[in-house]
Amino acid sequence: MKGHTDGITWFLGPGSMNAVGMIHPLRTFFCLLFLLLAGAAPAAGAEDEKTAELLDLPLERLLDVIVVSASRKSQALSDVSSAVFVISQDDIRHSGATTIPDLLRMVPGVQVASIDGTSWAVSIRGFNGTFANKLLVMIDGRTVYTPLHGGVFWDVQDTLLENIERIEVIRGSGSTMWGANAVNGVINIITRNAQDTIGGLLTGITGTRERGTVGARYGAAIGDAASYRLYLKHVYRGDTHATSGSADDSLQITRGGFRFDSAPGNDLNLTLQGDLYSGSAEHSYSSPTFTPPFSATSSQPTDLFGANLISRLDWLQSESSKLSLQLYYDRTGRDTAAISEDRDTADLDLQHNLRFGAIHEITWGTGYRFLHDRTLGTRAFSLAPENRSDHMLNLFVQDEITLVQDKLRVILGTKLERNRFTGWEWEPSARISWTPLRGYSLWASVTRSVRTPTRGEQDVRIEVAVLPPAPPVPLPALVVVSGSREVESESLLAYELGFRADLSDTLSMDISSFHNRYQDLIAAKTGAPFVQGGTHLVIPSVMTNLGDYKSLGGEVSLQWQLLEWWKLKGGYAYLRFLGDDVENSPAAKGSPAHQATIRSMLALGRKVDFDLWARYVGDNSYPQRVGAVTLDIPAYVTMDARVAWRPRAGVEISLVGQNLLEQRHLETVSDMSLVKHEVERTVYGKVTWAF
Amino acid sequence: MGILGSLARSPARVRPGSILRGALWLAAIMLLSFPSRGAAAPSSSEDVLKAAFIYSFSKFVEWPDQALNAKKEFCIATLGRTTLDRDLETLSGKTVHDRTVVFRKLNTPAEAAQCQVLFIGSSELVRIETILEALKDLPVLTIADSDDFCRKGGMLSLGRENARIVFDLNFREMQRGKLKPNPQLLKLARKIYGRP
Repeated sequence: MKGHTDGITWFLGPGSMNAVGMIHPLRTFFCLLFLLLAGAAPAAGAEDEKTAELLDLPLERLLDVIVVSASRKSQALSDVSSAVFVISQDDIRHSGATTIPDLLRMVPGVQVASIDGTSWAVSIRGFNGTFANKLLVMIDGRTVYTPLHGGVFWDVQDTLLENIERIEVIRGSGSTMWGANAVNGVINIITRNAQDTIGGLLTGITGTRERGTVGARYGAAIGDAASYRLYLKHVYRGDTHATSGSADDSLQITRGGFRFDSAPGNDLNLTLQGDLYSGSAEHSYSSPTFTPPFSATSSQPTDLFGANLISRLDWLQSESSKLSLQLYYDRTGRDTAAISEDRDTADLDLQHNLRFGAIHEITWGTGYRFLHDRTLGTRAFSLAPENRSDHMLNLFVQDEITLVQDKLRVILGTKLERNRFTGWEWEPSARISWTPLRGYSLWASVTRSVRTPTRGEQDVRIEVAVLPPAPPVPLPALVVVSGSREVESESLLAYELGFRADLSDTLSMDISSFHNRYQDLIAAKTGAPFVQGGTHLVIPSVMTNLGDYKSLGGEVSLQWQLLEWWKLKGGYAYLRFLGDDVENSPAAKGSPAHQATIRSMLALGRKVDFDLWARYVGDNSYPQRVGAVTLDIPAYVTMDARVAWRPRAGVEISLVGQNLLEQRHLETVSDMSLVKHEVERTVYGKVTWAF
Repeated sequence: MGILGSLARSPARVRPGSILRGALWLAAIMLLSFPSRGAAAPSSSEDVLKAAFIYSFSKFVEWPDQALNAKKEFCIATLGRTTLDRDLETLSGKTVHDRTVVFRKLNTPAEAAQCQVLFIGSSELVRIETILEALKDLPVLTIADSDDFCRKGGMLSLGRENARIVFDLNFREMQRGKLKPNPQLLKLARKIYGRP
């Protein structure tokens, strides 16, 4: 079923496993592959017989037949024992959002804040900021967080939004399946099958800040069982309001790509896809100086480049066994004023799912990834060594045990990863899910996850700030943050509890709560100052496993179809951190205690939509690295509105107003610049023509 | 919980060789013991099962006499691209309402007027309104696998829940096409739109 909100696809996460020491990763991989293929016996021939059997079944028995499909393990949302939120293509269209981070604002428990016109701070359940690093983000199974600092460069994560089938957001640890970095959550962006995008599509956007976005898509069938699409998109987005002086932050980026899908049989799916982008984003940087005002801020363009190619094979070998194999290559280039980085990633990933008897469903997998980067730093920002290669390997296994059919399930599993610096890491989890009545389910879980140190946390050297001379030493002080190869992995032990209910045909509710215990969080620790060259003090600040924090909170989301033509969707999230000096820690950084969102979607006849979206984000604190101070970010309430009109089939004209309630507001600040950017009230018009 | 707790306090450091060897053995054992047939509930690939549902629906709906009179065939058709074609084709030659089933692949919605059952492929869902408009009040049973198909004026929609196929039904639209669903069909539907 190509439904929107009912299916969730579990992707095997390409975990990170740095440089396997004593085992040759490729040999291990091929060994496993051989075992797997040797055991696989295709179930051809028996199919026609099977069809005949099914045709003789009465309708009520057909309803009991379990569906197996060649796609990766997929489950109905009501079956999933974690806190999941799905953004459907319908949600995307009604939201009026033009970027992926803006779409994520509708998910309770996700923190999204605009840093400037081209960058966002996005996290789940806290630890937000410019370098938020406890989140795994994937686009069609391709990991897009940077191993440089564990965060995501959101300015380049885009596609034609009409190509997105759905965005799955999993709050809470997904490490057992997905591996490192999936500490606080997983965001899985899934584009539509080429079969579902046949025909042409043209879109155009223009407005006060959206200076001009154009998109084109064409898809067609090749023979009976295959189809493809091509797309092209150009974005030109203007500046936001800078509170101190002028600081340009516009974005221009052109991207294009293709996707080819083929289903040569019921038991085989093949996908080949790729994207290419190139553009420029302006960001401001503050670099420290030894003369007042002790910092210089300038806005400079960052050159962006990226290319990727993904191939994926899903093979249903028999009704109790299926196999998925994915291979991708990804190249990114980012040339900023402070540092330039080119990175190549090759990733091979295999997942095998099999059912044993009536109660066991085992999923196991393995992945190998090769990473290589080349950097060129500046005096203020550099990596040592400049170039580095890493090999990563991971293994995982999970058993889903059905104790009482349709009522009680237990899921046990673990991921195993190794890296050169911190050794072997276990990421086990135990989940239980109880469905006492159809439409009502209660779930609980305990998981351990790990975040391995990033390239930056190991190898970086940044001059972050110069503190003015202060008695008793009449010298300016340079704060230098540097990485260390001694740091251990961060770990999280998470306890979660959730409840999901279809209260009626029209009202459904999802409640989740968590208690997280983080250990060995990596942060810069200030050391003893020393005098350098008689001209200034140096305050060294070295990456260390600084402290333990706890957090607790919960999220509620509601969907209510009041009338056939009126739908409401709302959410609320609460988050609280406990620990030493938590206000100035990376834990509570950019993480409001209260957040709420409500969307109203009105269909005025078949031709007109009227949508409203209001958001509240509570006040929060931000320990800013570049200024070495903690700033208070005030709370804000804002609202977007959208009116769309379809004069004839295939044509839609819409007018969208964003952040309408006030002229502008501050959402967060940057760790790289002292300039504050505020999000302004904006209006844009959009035309879409599908033919 | 005790095990997990102790793991958290002392980061696990096991000899790497033994773990990998163990994992390899585990993988080998899993592979040798598969495929394990004979699970309690019957299972099937999604397309085969959906074709069986469509066949079953054909038997559980009554067409007005004029729609079937003077016809030797019972036409099941698809519009647009769908992976169901091959499985629906295997229905050819079966008997429904005393007529032989034929399978057709259509290019335009207008051609469906000659058919009794129309499955609308996912590629056509973007122009669903136009298609349903063309088939308005005709005795053609419209089926699709989209969540909001029935809300948009389709007659039967196939969905998935708990790894099983479920279906919704739009009673009003069926009445407008002069199609009579068997009470059994109404009983087994997950949701009924335009309830009598």
